[in-house]
Amino acid sequence: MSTPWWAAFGPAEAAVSCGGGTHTLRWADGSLIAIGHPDAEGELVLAALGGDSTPCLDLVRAWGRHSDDLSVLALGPRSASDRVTVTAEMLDEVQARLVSGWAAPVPIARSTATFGAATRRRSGWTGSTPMRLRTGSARQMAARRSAVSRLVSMQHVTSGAGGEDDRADLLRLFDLGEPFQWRLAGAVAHAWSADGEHAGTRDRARPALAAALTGRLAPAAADWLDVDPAGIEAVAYDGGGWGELSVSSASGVSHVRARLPVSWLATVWAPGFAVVEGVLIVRLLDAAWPSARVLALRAPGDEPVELSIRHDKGHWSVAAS
Amino acid sequence: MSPGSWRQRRAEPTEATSVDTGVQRITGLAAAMTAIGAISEATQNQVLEDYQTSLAIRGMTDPNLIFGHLPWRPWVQSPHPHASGPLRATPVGVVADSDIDGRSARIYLGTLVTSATSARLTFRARFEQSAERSPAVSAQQHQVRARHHSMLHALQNFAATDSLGGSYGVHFSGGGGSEDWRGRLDISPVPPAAVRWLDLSVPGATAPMRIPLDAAPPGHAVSSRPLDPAGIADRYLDNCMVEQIQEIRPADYEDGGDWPGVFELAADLLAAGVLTIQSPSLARLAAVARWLKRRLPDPLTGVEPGVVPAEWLSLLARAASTDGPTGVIPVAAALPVVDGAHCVVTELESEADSMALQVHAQGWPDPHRYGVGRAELFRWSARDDVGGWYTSSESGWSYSDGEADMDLRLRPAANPRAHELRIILTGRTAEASVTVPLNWQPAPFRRVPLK
Repeated sequence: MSTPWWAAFGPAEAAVSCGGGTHTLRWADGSLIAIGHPDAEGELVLAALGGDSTPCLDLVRAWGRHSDDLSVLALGPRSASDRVTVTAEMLDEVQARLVSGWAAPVPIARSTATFGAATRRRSGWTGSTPMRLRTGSARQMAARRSAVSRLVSMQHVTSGAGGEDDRADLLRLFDLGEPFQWRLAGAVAHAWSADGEHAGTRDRARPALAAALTGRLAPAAADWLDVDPAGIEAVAYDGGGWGELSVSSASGVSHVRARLPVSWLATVWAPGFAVVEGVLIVRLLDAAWPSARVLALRAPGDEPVELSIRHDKGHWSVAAS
Repeated sequence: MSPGSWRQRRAEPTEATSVDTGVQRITGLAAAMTAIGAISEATQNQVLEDYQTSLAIRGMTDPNLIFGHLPWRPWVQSPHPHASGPLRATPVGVVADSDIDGRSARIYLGTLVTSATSARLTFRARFEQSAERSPAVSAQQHQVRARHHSMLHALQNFAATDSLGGSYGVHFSGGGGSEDWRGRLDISPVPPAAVRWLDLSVPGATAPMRIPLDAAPPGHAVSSRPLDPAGIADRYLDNCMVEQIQEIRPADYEDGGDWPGVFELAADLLAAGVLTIQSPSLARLAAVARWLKRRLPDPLTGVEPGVVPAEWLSLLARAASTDGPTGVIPVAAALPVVDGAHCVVTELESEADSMALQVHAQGWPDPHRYGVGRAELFRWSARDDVGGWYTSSESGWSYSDGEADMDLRLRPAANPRAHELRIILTGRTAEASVTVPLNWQPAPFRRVPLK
């Protein structure tokens, strides 16, 4: 069995104010789980029949809707230093839009509280220490997420349909924190990879995929080669092997051209090891977080070499052989 | 270049890297690509909204702009409206003196535009100047508002009867200030075909204003032709260049001033693959750069300069002219439908430094997406019979459900040696034009003193 796209990710958790308490949303093995809702499917059925939804379930549903949404790659982070922050002002703007009647109902796309990889799904999974979320107390962050969830829940009582709900959902998911932003981007990239659900229709998405690849390879390769990221371009690669990368220079300006499979975004960039100790990682061979075996380029034009890397204390590094 | 020097260069803040400049550049490029059909309107709006949102969630712009800066819900906006049917233009050109809201006024009815479902008259009024002493500013504003409201009310006091004894309701819509008001009079119901004339009763006038319904159209030459689809990007860039060329002064570039925005747009369209290094519009752009004695910016350096078109030079030659004749022509010409828009050129008025063009349109695009007179999908221009070219800018408009009334400014001033003017509407796939003999009639509000 091939390595699943999420094999190099560790688990992540976020606190959400829900039902008068603080619940935990947990992402692990490619799936988002509402831990405080053991009968989530039953709750979703009730909500579909007109009962109240909950912030946790709203977020899980939103995750499912956006796990193949290319807007995630258009808006989401490009590198570790590219911080995406949803502010109270933005949420106020969402609220203003919804209250003023611009909102639309959110259809229940799938009747399950767990969205993500179909394999190894485990409700209520508990395990190793989650990745750290953003600064601020868990209570403060949970309260904000609850507010956002309430806003989006309000969409159920208004009429219409359209993209503003998607944007509100997306902001809500980004507000879960950086670990979730990167994992959602990984899920989307996987959906548009050669073995993803949209593999057969991705020709229409090639401009967006090229932008997603370029926007993420550029900061990584700029660090790797010490060149201006503006001179770096990447397009989606459909052939065998890891892809291609070349460097040229004109008028003293370096130009990097790369062809990379979209799966590079899901399996290499999203887990956070695009560049490790001065080498560009071009392919994931296999992984069981926190360890992974990868192909790496030491320099443009070189043959890629196999490396073992390991995640420790928030960073990936080359494992001792 | 030494390793890492790009970091230093990028760290130096320049105007070219400011967020606002970036937004303007992306917006301009997206609008251009939509106008030439390279991307859809939905894609344009999605890209711009994504860009704004990306900036906002990175703290690089006002978060309130995240949803507020762009047309909302662009993917479900009403589709491009279509003309409701053939339009007929009848010249009227009637002047009368009257007393409206206690003020002496001269009224001018220009053109009657009729379709199967509507009849409307172009309307202008000039009121005599008030001799009142200027009150304090706040009181003045209050008076202006009150007078405006009162005038709108007074302008609803028109009525009409026809040659067969029928009566009609007349509704004014439009606006104005202390002296000039303009707009249209909607007449309902639509007069039947057997009606020969309408008499419009005007408050304070000694006699009704007679509107002939059977007057023959002026017979101006009207034509249309399809445009080469392959040339749409070149036409777009040429139009952008023409809009800016009248503002370009070579002296401004002697010390290396910033390039006009059209050069940046050209570089972006080249990078996007919409234009190629052999595109004729880029050759013309390069010719302008050579005229400015400037080296083209980096992405365009491979473009071989062509020649600056004679029409562009004519714009430059007469850019500051103030020798235009004074007068008005009731054009009353219905143009063939262009890309779903049916337009009637109602009047052309000339002043010393420019011309004013009035147009009524049906099937016109939603102004919230494109602007009105200078809609990205349509461009107005004109050519005279002595080699002069004229470009348009918007000076006023009203719009509702696909119907637009536009006041356009044509520059430079009409050439006094010209005998004809071809007024051109250019769309994406076709252009239509009407050729008007320049028989200027005295402007109703200039040469005849008010009573």
